[in-house]
Order: sequence, then C-alpha cells, then structure tokens
Amino acid sequence: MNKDTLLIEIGTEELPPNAAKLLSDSFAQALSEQLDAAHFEYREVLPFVTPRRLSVQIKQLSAQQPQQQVARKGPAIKAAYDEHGQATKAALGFAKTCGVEMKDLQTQETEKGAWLYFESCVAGQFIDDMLQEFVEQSLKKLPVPRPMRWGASDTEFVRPIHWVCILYGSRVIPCTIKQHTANNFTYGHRFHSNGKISLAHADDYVNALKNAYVIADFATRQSVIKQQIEQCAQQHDARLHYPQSLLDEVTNLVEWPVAVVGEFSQKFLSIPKEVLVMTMQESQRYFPLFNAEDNSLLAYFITIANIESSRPETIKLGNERVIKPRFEDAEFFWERDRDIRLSDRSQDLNGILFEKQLGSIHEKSERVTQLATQLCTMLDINEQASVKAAQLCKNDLLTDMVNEFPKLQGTMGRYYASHDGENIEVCLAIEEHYLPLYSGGALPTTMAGKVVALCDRVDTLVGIFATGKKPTGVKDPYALRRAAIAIIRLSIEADLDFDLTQLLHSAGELLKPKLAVDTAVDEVFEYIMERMRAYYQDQAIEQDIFESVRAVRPTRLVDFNQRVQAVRTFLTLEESTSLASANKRIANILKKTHHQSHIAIDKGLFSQQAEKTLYQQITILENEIAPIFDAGQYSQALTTLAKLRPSIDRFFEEVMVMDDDIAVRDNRIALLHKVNQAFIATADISLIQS
Amino acid sequence: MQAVILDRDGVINHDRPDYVKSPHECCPIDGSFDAIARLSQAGLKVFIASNQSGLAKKLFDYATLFSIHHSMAKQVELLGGHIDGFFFCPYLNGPERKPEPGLLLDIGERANIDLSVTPFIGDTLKDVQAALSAQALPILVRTGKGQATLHEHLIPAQVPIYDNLYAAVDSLLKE
Repeated sequence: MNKDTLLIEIGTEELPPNAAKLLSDSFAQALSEQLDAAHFEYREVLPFVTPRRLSVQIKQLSAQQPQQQVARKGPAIKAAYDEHGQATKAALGFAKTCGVEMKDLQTQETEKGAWLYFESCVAGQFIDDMLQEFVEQSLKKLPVPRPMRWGASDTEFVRPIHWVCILYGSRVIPCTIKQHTANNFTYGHRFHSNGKISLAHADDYVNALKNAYVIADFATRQSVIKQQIEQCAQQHDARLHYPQSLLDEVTNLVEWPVAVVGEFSQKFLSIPKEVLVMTMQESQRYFPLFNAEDNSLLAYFITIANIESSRPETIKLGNERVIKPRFEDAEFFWERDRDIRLSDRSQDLNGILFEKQLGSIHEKSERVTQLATQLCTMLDINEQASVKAAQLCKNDLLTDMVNEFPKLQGTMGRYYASHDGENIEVCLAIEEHYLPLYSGGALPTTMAGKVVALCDRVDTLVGIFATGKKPTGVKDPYALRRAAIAIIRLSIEADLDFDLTQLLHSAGELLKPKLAVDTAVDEVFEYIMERMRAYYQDQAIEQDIFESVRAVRPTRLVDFNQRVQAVRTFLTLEESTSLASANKRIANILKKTHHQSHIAIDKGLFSQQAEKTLYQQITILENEIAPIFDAGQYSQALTTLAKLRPSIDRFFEEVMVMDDDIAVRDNRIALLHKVNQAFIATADISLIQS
Repeated sequence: MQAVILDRDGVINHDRPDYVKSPHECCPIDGSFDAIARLSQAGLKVFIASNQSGLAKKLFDYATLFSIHHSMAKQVELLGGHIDGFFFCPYLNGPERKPEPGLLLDIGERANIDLSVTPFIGDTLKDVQAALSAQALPILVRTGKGQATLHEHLIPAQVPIYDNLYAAVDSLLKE
C-alpha cells in the first residue's frame, strides 16, 4: 500500500492572533476525524500555524482506503426456491443485483433462519477522490464566530484566502477549496522572501519555509521567542514575569521572531507599576523587565519584531516613540487624579448608575457602608477600617486612570487612598474587596477587605433579586452566582461567623426606601444554599451529608460547615450505619404518629428493661453533650451519641412501640422523640443513605 | 431518486370496501412484496403512506394496525427487502389525509429526501392529487381502485399508468 505525506496549507491574510492556534488545531482534528471515519491510515497529524497560514501535515497517509468487505442480504432461503426447487423471482433478482449467478450466492444462518447472502471485496477509494470533501467538511467545523467575505465573491472564511497548497508526496491533489485551485507552491515571509516557493515534496514544507524566514511550527516559534527574551533579560541582569497568554499571542503575531530591547524614561517609574505593566503587555504586547533582586519594574521592555532588520535601532526607536506618549497619558492621569482626595469624590458617584431601581453607585456605597457597620457589630470587631473602606471603595471608578484602564479598579483606589494618607488596612481593603476574582482565586487578606467584600455582594444579591432579575444557568449579567460563591468562601474559608439571614435581612431593610423587597431575602438565602450544595459537591462531599445538615436549617455558614465536618467524621465510625438506620426508623415512626412534642415522659410507664436503659442512657448523654454542644463541638457530640447504638438496637429488638395502651405507646414515642432530638441538634442523620 | 413511496390498500394488498381490519384480512397483491424487495436491493428506501380513518371510526385499534404492518414487514424481509417506514393518517380529515399533501411532506422532512424526484405509487385520484400538491411524482396502478379511477376521472397526461406495483417497479428500475 502506498504511503506518503499529505500537506494542506491555506494561505491567508493575517489571522486574529488569539484565535489562530485554536483554528489550526481544530482543522487538524476535524481532518483526522474525516480520515478515521473513512478508514484511511496514517502515522501522525502535525498542525502548523503562523499569522499567514493554517496548515497540516499528515505523515505516512495511505493512498487508498483498505479493501472493504461488503455483505448484502437477500431473501430467506425458504422464499428463494419454489416447490420445484427452482429459484424464485426474489432470488433471481437478488443474484442479478449482486451481479453474479445463483450458484455464487452464499447462505447465512441466523436465529430467524437461513438467508441468501453475498459477500464481496470492494476496492477502497483513493485519497485523490475523497480529499476535496474531507477538506470542505473540516473547514465547516472551524470555530469562526464571524466569517468575512472579500473581493467580489461571496465565499466566507475567517480572513481572506490568498493561496491553497495541497501535496500528496510530490503530486498536487486536484481540489478547489473556497474558489482557490490547489497548487504546489507556498509563500515565505512577507518581507524577507520574494514570490512563490515551489515545493517538490510535502516533506519539504518546514525546511522550505524556514529558508524563507518562516518558522511554521507554533511550538518551535514559541520556544525561539522564549529563548530570545530570556537572553535579553540576562543581558540586562533582569527577570521576566509575564502571563502565558501574552507569549501565546505574541507567537501568533510573527513568522520570524526577533527580540528587540527598548527603554523608557526613568521618570515614568513613579507611575504605579500595574499601570505601566498593563500598558506594555495589553496595549503594546511587550514583555516588561524586573529587577532580579526586588522585582521592581525596570525602565526597559522587550518587543518581538517580525523582521531580522539590518538596522534594529530603527525598530527600537520606533517602539520607544510609541510607548512614550502612552506613558505620558498615564502620567497625566496619575497627576490629575491625585489633585482630588478620594473621599471628596463620593457625591460624584451619584452620576454612575448601579441599576435603574436600585439607584446610583453612591447610594449603593452608602448601603454597603451601613451594612459593614452592622456586620462588624455581629463579628464583634472594630468597624473603623471597614466603614472607611466601604465609603471609599467605589470612588476610584471616577478617576481618569480607571476610566482608561477599567481592569485597574480597586488597585488605583489603593494607590489614591494611600496618597491621601488613609490607613493601610483601608487602602488594601479597597483593592481587596473585589476578591476573589475567579473560581478558587485568592481571598482578601485584611479584615476590612473581607467585610466590604461580603457586604458589597450581599447588597448586590438582595438588590437584584428584589428587582426580579433572578439569574438563570445561561443568563447572569450581574455575576450573582460568583457573588454567592464568594460569600460562602469568605464565610467558611476566612472563618467569619455571623448569621447570614440576619445580614440579608439588614440588606433588605436598607433597600426598602427604593423598592419592595418581599421575598427576595428568602430567595437569596435559598440561592446561597444551592451554591453551598455545589460547593460541597466540588469537594467530593456526598450530597446526603449536605442534605442532613441542610435539614436542620443552620443560618451561620461557619456553623453549617462545622456540622458538615462533624457528620463526615461521624460516618467514619463503625456505629454510624446502624445509627443512621435507627434514626430513619425513628423518623418514620414520628412522622406516622404525628407526635405531640410537649408530652412529658413518665418513667413509671416503662415496663421493659430495654426501654428503661435507653431512657437512662439518653438522659445521661444529653447532660454530657450539652456543654460540648454549646461550644460548637458537633463532632464530639455525635461521637458521644454513638454510644447509644447498643441500647437503641436492643430497644427495637425487644420493645413494641405501638402498644395497645395509648399511654404506653405515647410514652415510648416520646422517648424516641427525645433520642431524635439529640441527634437532630446537629444534623438529620436519618437522611444519610447507607 | 433515493426513495419510493407507496399507497397501501389497493397497491400492496387487496383493498376491501369494509376496510382491512386485521392481518388476516390483508392479502398481498401478486408480486407486490417482490417489487418492494427489488426496490430495497436497488438501494432505494421504501415508505408507505396510507389513509387509515378506520382508526377514527374505531373499526380497529392501533395495536391491530401495527400487527398488519409487522406482518407486511416480515414478509418483505423474507424476500430480501425492507420497508423503511409506515406513515398513516388516523383522522377523518385534516392536512395529512390524502388528497392533502401533509403525509408526503412529513415523509420528505423526516427521511430527508427530495420529493421532487420521489415517485408516489397509488390507486386513487386522492393519491395522484396528494403527490401533485407535495410536488412528488405520481404513478397510478390499475389494481385496487385504479381501474375505476381511470374510468371516472381525467388523470393528467404526465402520470404514468401501470398494471400493478411489480410492473411499475420494473419500469422504474429500468431507467
């Protein structure tokens, strides 16, 4: 079987750098799926991508599909021959369709009987005949959100196509892809290469392009860039810190990377580091350099040029000429913003709408400030820093710097508050109140930061729910889901113990002047509970454990969590299985008999030893647990109650609860109620599945 | 041509004035199952489109109808063929009851076939009308009510006429 390399290259106008790699990988993936479905064999699939081309090389692709066994089913044997043993119309017709004589037909035995049958070997089709369809189908699968048209035609693609190269071995496979006829040439670098480059063989691709100043392979190109920037950093005794996304983007901005180091005026280093780094990385795609010892920003940057210039100083100066005005703008904002104290901006927050029914950001700010005061009281901590932080946390939204760089909200607040001489905790809290920024992200480190983070989100949740705009799985413009998760993490992981329903209720009260709050508070609590469910699911804690605690409706999340942990520990005990069943049994009995809880137990009505023992034991243990319980030591409380197991088992074995004497029966039920109450104080163990 | 649609009563099995109410009352017209088998062997899909208002009139129930279908399917399978779908209209009137095109259009959509190249073989004017409305290719056979139809109505000249289903299929496959 002939095997050779297949090369498909689609030459385009510069591809969007953040989408290019995905397009290339999707193309390769889709193509290999087409080949697999048609049973073409190959050894490996290599995707390539540069700004100007999407390509894929398939090594050792077989030229032809393997032979296929085609089996056709005809009439049943009993319908194939008439009473004289002659072939029937059906059988003759079948033989004719298969193109053979009756004698060439085979018989197949099935559970339904014997059937006429014909198996033949069909030669596979050649890649030449199938490739057009494969490529068209693969291109259809590319994730292109907004394809474009160009010139006078109505073909659509992510960017205009300039050429198509399709080679199998050394021959072109005749195809027309998006109105381009496939050929055997490619093009090199835009500036370092001239005209068509004929490829003698599909395997020549990478080298031919390299000679034409194009590094076709993404990974190779990226490692060249990485090496270059590390070398530059070393030369300047500096260190690099950059997000991988920047490196990925830059890799798809060039075909022949050449790192060039530029510098800027030291005076700009007085501008906050975050501003300079954001300008360099996001606006310019530069790599900033940092001092190797203290990580302070250095007045240098690395840009990756797409040209191996004979006069690199031109590139250096050109970039420096571009970055200078950007930094000057930033400097201007930095100066001007600091002319006004952050605290003097509060009234102007009235100009920014939070939500139509909920009012301005200023009004929100005031509500959050009041809420923070209340939360501090609940937590029994000094409110000063939290209140100040709440008052100032949104003010940086009015500054020119945040207007220019919205991602720097909070960070600029920290800088400006610090400049105004605010307490350091307040400054940090302003920046931190936005945390956690994403799933699993860091939490605020300061207490004020945690308080404001909580109160801001509580106000948003209750407010938006009150407007009726509950979030759904697909539509959550106010990020309420993330807000609820943040509240959970801030409570449990930052160990803030307060009554959530109380805080939600306070938020509701503060909103009343603006709109009817009605059921919003309860709905928000339920919503947070659902997020708690997911929170525990993510930690691989069984659902029934969550349900057992949920059933007793704790309203303090720290407390909720302690109970959950207690039940987990309890379930590791050997006694837990039978105690869970016992609790289920008790729960069923209590449900069926509509027990009146005020009926007191009369010891005199106990006749059997088993019930007397159980009563004795529960009374003792109740007293034993009381202080443990009050201290929130749920784990210990449940472990202690585990001692009841033998007496409960014995009770159910020997005592008939539903005695004919109503007084005796009610008394036994009251005893069971007492036992039930002892467990339920922590969690409803009857909900645990075995 | 990817498929062929057939009327049932009068084309595949003998029609009855008092409705075909059980598998027992369903007798195949000579050669009709062989014809269906030939269509399958030629790689064509075979669908049946029939009016079954007997359901609305409570003359038989769905279970009985399905057992008639089942029996037909088995007999065709014995000959090496396959019926790809039974479509029927259980109502007394409505857009799916022939001569309305609804049933044929439904087949076109669900089976993803181009009706303009799909023959519909029937024995009554209703079948011809339904095919024309659905822009399929009507064919008339003389079995069942076919001969009577030709006497009573003027059938458009472009509608091919055959003696029975086998002859019609023979002609279709020759092309």
